[in-house]
Order: sequence, then structure tokens, then C-alpha cells
Amino acid sequence: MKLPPVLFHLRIQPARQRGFGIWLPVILLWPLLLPILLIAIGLALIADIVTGFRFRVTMIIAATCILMCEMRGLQVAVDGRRSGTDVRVSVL
Amino acid sequence: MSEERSRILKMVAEGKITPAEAEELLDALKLRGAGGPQPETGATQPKPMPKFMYVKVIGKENDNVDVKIPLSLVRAGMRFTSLIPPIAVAHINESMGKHGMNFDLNSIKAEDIDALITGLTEMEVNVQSKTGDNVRVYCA
Repeated sequence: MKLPPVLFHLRIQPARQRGFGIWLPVILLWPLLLPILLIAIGLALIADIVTGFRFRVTMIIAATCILMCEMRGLQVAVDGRRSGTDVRVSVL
Repeated sequence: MSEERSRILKMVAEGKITPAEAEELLDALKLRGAGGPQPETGATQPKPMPKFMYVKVIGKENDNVDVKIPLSLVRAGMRFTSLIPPIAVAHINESMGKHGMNFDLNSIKAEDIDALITGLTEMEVNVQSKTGDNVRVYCA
């Protein structure tokens, strides 16, 4: 498992115009998300015990976290010649 | 290997290659079997494990889409199948069976997923539509 993403980059470039890009430092959100995640895991564990692990909520939360961490390196680039806008998304 | 030998011999019989050329090819086969030098550079060298899956769409009017997906994300996503509730799995299996895919979603193990990801090394999909759009999926 990798570390969660540290940066998220979004760039929108309309045709014949100056585009803009956003560098979102996701790393700054980690300390905020961690307590929320811990609370969510606790609640999910209780829900799992009550339902007899029928829905495996804890596992789903854990798998979602792994999926988020594995998103590092994802890049999507759309060059919309017809719409006239280029969009680029990168998760670093 | 024997299949390749017979193919070479068949080519000689059909007159497509001369016996001298066949001898060269058979020698090359022998070398390959013994782990010797390759006639074509890097022909059987193990390929490095791919890290990304690329999806490239080149539209007729230059509407291009370029997606680079880490294979570890694909692997993690596929592991989600083990978290699908049993009721949903039954529905999925039934629906897939109706479409001619008799396969049990529960039977997918972590090793199978790893094997599938490894197998993606050789995969390359090229689709050219009538409208002129081009889709290419490959791993590197």
C-alpha cells in the first residue's frame, strides 16, 4: 500500500484563453481526515457487529482507503477540440 | 519447440525456404532452447512489469482523451469484488450466465487478480471505428 495522495492538480484551458490550474495540497487534509476516518471505522465496526458482518462496512471503508492511496499517479487529459476546452487532472 | 521445428520443415517442403536457411533457423531454435544468445535482440527477455494502463482515444475531430491509470489502482479496484454482498453476487453471476459468461465472482482470488494483471503486459486493444475514432488500450 502506498501513502495517500499528497497533491491534486486540475488544469482547465479554454481555447484561445488563458487557462487556470489548481494545485490542491491534499497532504494538508490528512490530519483533518484521520480523526473522521477513525470515527467512521469505529461506527462501521459497531454496525458490522450488530448486523453480523453481513454488509462488511469496515472492510469497505478499509478498501476505499486503499483505493484512494493507490490513486497516486492517475492522470486524465481531455483535449476537447470541439468544446474548445482542455482539462487535465493529475493525482500525485 | 517441436511445433516450430515442424513449421520450418514444412516451409522447406513447400519450397518457401532453402535447406540452408532452414538449418540456420533450426540452429537458432537450438540456441534458444539451450538458453543461448537470441537471434532477435530481447525476443524472450522477461519484460518489466507494467506499472500503468493507458487508454488513448483519438477522435475524428481531434477530441483526444488520454488516461493513465496505475495498475495498482486496477488491482485494488478488483479486490472490491470480494466485498460485494452475497445477494448481489448471486444476481451478478445470474446476469453474466444469461449473457454466456459462466463464471462465479466468488471464485476470484487474490492470486487470480495478480495473474490477470501480469497477463495485461501482453494486452493491447486497438479499436478503429467507422466514424474515424481510434481507441487504444495498453499497459506499459
